[in-house]
Parts: sequence; structure tokens; C-alpha cells
Amino acid sequence: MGIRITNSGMHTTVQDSGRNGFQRYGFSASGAMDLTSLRLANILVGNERDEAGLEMIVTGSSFLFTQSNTIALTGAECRPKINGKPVKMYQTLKIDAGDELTTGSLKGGTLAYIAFAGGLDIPEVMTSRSTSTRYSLGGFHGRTLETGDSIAFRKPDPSLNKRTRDFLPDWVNQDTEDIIHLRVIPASMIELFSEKAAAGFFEKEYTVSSRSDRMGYRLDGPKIETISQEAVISEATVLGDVQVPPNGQPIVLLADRQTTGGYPVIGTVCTVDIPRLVQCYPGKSIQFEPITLKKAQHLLKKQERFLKRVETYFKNQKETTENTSEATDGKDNQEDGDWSADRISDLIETVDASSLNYFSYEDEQIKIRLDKQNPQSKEVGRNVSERKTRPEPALAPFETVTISSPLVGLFYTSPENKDTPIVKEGDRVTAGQIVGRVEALKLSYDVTADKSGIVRSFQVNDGQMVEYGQPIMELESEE
Amino acid sequence: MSQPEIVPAGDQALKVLFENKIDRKINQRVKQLSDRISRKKITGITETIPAFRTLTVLYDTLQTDYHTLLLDIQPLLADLDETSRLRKRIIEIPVCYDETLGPDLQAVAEHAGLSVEEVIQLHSEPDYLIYMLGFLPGFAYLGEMNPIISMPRLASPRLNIPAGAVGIAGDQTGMYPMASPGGWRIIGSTPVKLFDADRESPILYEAGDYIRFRPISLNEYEDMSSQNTNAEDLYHIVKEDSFGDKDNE
Repeated sequence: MGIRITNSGMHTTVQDSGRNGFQRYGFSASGAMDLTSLRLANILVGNERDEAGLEMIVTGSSFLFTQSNTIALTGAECRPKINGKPVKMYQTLKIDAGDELTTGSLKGGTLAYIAFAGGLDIPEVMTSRSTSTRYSLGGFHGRTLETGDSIAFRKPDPSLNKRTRDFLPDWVNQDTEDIIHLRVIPASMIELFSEKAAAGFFEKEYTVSSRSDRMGYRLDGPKIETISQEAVISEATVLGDVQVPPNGQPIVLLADRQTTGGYPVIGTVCTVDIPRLVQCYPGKSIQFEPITLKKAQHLLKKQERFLKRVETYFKNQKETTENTSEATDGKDNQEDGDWSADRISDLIETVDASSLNYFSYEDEQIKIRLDKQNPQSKEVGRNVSERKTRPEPALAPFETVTISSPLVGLFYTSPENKDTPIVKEGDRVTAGQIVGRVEALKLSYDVTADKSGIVRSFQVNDGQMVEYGQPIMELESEE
Repeated sequence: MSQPEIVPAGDQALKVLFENKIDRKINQRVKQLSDRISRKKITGITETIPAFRTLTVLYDTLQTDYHTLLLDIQPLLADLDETSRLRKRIIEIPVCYDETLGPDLQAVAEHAGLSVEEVIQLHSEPDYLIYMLGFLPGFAYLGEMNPIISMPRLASPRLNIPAGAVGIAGDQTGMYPMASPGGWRIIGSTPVKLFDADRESPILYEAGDYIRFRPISLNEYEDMSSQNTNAEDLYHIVKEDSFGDKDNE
């Protein structure tokens, strides 16, 4: 007994640190795209750091627990709730049998992780529990999780002491950055590019393409010219390789990459920057900068030492508090005095959802002022300003309902591989009906109407890039 | 032959680059170095991946670093041409060249201006060297097929080529270890499970081995399909003198 999936999400798979050692036989390693986040989740729940957990891409999944256990969520903000009550990420949460854990669409990043104390009862295939959906290998029957699937726990431990960690990976707030800087170790094959092309690669800006996936992140930008069009004799690919196909648009090779490749490689993204890249939504600007091998290895060691310290800290904590039986209820976490980013964002959400227009709080550590009317407080979240522009229902003869994008991606009015729009202006739609779709990382997510009504206007064009929460269309509600 | 060059490939891998061409001798040196590194059990090395003319070495940055590995690997580059101690392992793959399993066999024969029997004869004659594995799990890049039976890929690829299919694309030949879309001309099929995740060796061969195709009848194919072939029965180990120094092919 363990979990039953009550809502599959778009692309949720079992992943660990990868099926390593088989690249020589042509097997991609797979494994967690943002391995640092998975490791941190495992460390929080007392697992070996490379234990398998769940990876959720772009949208979260929901689970009914049929057995009590301790879990931790890391990665991009996925707005987790237990039985409808918001809970925090980056700390242990005790979940009882019968509880439901729900997560929403991801914001600030594309990948979130859940680790379960004692691991999941998934058979190892060639030394790993990772899922390769491309080859239907490993994980849960080689595929993404579907609603109704059940996975048992191996050695659940619902009595873990509460652990929190005020550690947030450096990409967590990167959506406020205009450009993500990724450090690249130049490849020996850089000679295949002209000096001008190589210099341009490090100066120009690229954006993450929506055709990115677990195999590789494709980037759009200035064309990188190779000196000769001669093919490179195929050789092994390496995680983070920046491959340049003949169209000159680079692809960064990732967990599910093909094991060999015959395109020139201009450099390799350093390991500590891989999570920063994979957490980028399509449309995000990227700039590459060169880094020396020595510096890259130094950064990697530093990160590993950090994880080791957290691990040791928790192990000692476990030993010293093993005999005390204090409450370890992870759901009640407001007493601790620290103002983590999580807690502040919880507060913003609470204020935002309430009828309050103004909220202020001050103590020795922090001063918080949230003002829904004042445009200067825009940084507390886009939802605030959007809500403000919405007409008051009581004043309008018909209520205008805005349908917002559930995620970051490209908005399409028509189904995949079709040209006919699903709905057009003037159409009557019913609550729950599909009215369009948003595509991100090659996954298509249906946008549905919350209420019945008549389509009044589209706020965005077909094929346009939309932000999370951006208004897509307005309905005239009939309810 | 020129001395191979060692270069970094990101912060967790390095590459040993041999002469930049596809050549049996060069590929055998890659394989020889791979074996030497494996035997040495060098601290921190997690995997070696041989390709046509490069050996990629993956390592754990916590246990070693690039400069330490340079010192570990440099001495192993000496005398890589002395392949006399290298054994030659041939894996015999039974293939049924029946038209029900090889829908393109007739077309290949017509293209070459040969009879079907002659195509089978030419295809099953050589011992093919596995230069490297890649593209698909367990997919072997084989050299060298008789160019008389070469034929371009299908104009529009098939959506599903079943596992075990044996085909021709240009002057290459290969086997599909798992079902996949592809444009190869399919001339037959093997009843042997080329990939089995539960087997001790999920893939039966590796870079540096040789593949020999043995023609079988449809009856034999069906018999073998219904039983699990013991992988060991397919191996023919040739130790010695027909290879290495005296091998002048």
C-alpha cells in the first residue's frame, strides 16, 4: 500500500539518478532532469540521495495515500495541499492514510519532485528505477503515471522528525531574472566553428524553444556557423553538450538524449547549471558564458559538500532525537519564526485570495507590506493586478469571466494537428468544456472554461506565448 | 600511428581522440584502451564508452579530477597497436531470410541484379566488426557490408519495424534490438532476443565484438522463437593468431 494517483498531471514519472553504466550499450541514462532537487527531497526524508521519487513536469499530479508516510516536495513551486490545506515545499510532511495530496500547475520552473521516506516499491531494471518513456523501460511499466495507478511504499516511515531546510536552489527566483546565464566549458570541437561564431555564441541571446523535452532543450537565436559542413564521426554524447545541427540552432543534450551523436559540439554546460537550464520555461532568455574546467569542477565539489553537510546534519538530528516523541506534524508549520521565501509567498497567496486590499506586518526580521491597490506593489504577484482590472460582478449586467492560462507556454485555439479553432467569438461554451490549449515542452495542456457563457473576446492570438495566469479569453457568464 | 589526444568533455567526462577517420585498426585501438582502463580499475572512472575513433571516459568529480586522470591514462596509450593478446569474440546471430520476415529482400536483390540466394550469401558471408553501439539501445554500427548489396533507405520510413529485424541502409547493415520506426530495407529477422533487461547481459555484444549472420529456415526460426536461446550458445571465441599482428585485412 502506498499512493493511488487521483490526477495524473501531464508527465509524471518515476526517476532516480539514472541508469548509469549502460551508455556504452546505447541506453540513455534518463533519471531526474533536476537531480539536485530530487537529491534534496531524498535527503529531507532520510533516503539515500539517489533514491527514486516522482518527477512532475509543467503540471502537478494528485495522490490519495493508502498508507501513512513522510514525504518532501522540492523543485518548482507546485502549490501542494493536503486535504485542501496548503502545505510547504522543502520540508518533511507527514501524511496519514486517507489523506489526499494535490499539486497544481508549476510556477517559477518546469519540474517538481516528491520523495517518499523509504522509497517506492518499483522494480529495478538494469540497476535503476528511472523511467525511459521512449523505450518503455523501467519506472512504472515504462510509462508516465495515469489516474488510477497505485504504487506501494518500500519502507514507509511516518514517524520521522520534522525537517526543514532554508535552502532554495539558485534557480528558484530566476524567473525574476531577464536572462539566465549558463556557464559552458568550451569543447575541443570548438575549432569546427569560426572564431567569430564561437565569440557570437557567448555574446548573443538565445531563447528556450517550446520543442524542448527530456532529450534536449532546443534554443532559438542567432545562427551558429560551422566552418565546414562535413559530418563529425559519431561519438558518445555527454550530459550538457551543446550540439549545433546544420540549422545553427543549438540543442543542449539532457537526461533522455541519444547516446551517440554526429553534430559538432561547441561546449558543455557545467553540471551545477543544468538545473537552472531545465527549470526554464519556453521563451526564457539564455546567455552562455565560458567557464574553465577547474572552476566548474570546483563548483560541483562545493555543491556536493553542501548536500553532504545537510545529509550529516539530519543524520545527527535523527540520532539525538530518536527517543523523544515530539509531534512531527508537518502540516502545522507556522510556529517557526523564520521568514523563508515559502512562508512569504504563502502569505501573499492568502492575502491575494482574501478580500483584504492591504496588509502589513513587521517584526525584528522582516517588514512586509502588501497593497493590492498600489501599482508599486506589483512584484507580489501578477494575479493581483489582473484581478484588479476585472469588473465588479455586481455592477455588470452579465458577469465577465476571464479564462487564464494555467501555465507558461504557447497558446493554440485549435487541437493538435488541426487548423479549425475549438471555439470562436460568439460561441456558447459550457463549464468544463475545452476552449483551447497551451503547449509547453512538447506537452499539450487543455484550457477549460470554469463557467458556462458566450465567448466575448480572445486576449491573445493563436500561437502566442502566454505567461502563467495571463488572461486568454473573456466569457459573458450566463450563470 | 599518431599519438591519441586527451581533451575534457564537460566537468565529468574526458575524451581520448584517435585519428579522425573510420578505420578498423583505429577502432580496435579505441577498444583496446577501453579494456585496459577497465582492467586497471582506476579510481573515479565510472564508465568508458567506445565509439568509431573516440573513447569517452565518464568520471566522478568527487573522487578524481581531469589532471589526475591524465596521469592515469597517459601511460596506457603506449603500444596500443600490439593487439596480439586481444581475443576475437564472434557472436553468431541466426537470421531467417524469408520473405514473410524480410519484405524488402526481393527489392534488394533486384536493385543489385542478383538472385535472393546470392544476396543472402553475400550478407551472411563476412564477420562484421561492431564499431560502436548507439542510436537505439543495443543498436550496433557494423562494418563492412559488401557494397554490391547496398541500397538507399525507403523514401518514407515505416512506422514500426519489429524487434529482431535485420536490414540494409545505404552500405550499412544492422539489427533492430527493439521495435522502432525506421527507413531501413528489411531483409530478414532473428529469433534471438537481442535485448532482454532481465538477462545478465541485457545486450549480447559490445563494441569490438564481431557479428556473424547464420541463415536459418522459417521452421528453425519458429522453433527458436518459442524457446529462450541460451546467450552463451551464440558466442564463438577466437583467441589468437588469425587476429592481431597477423591480421592484415
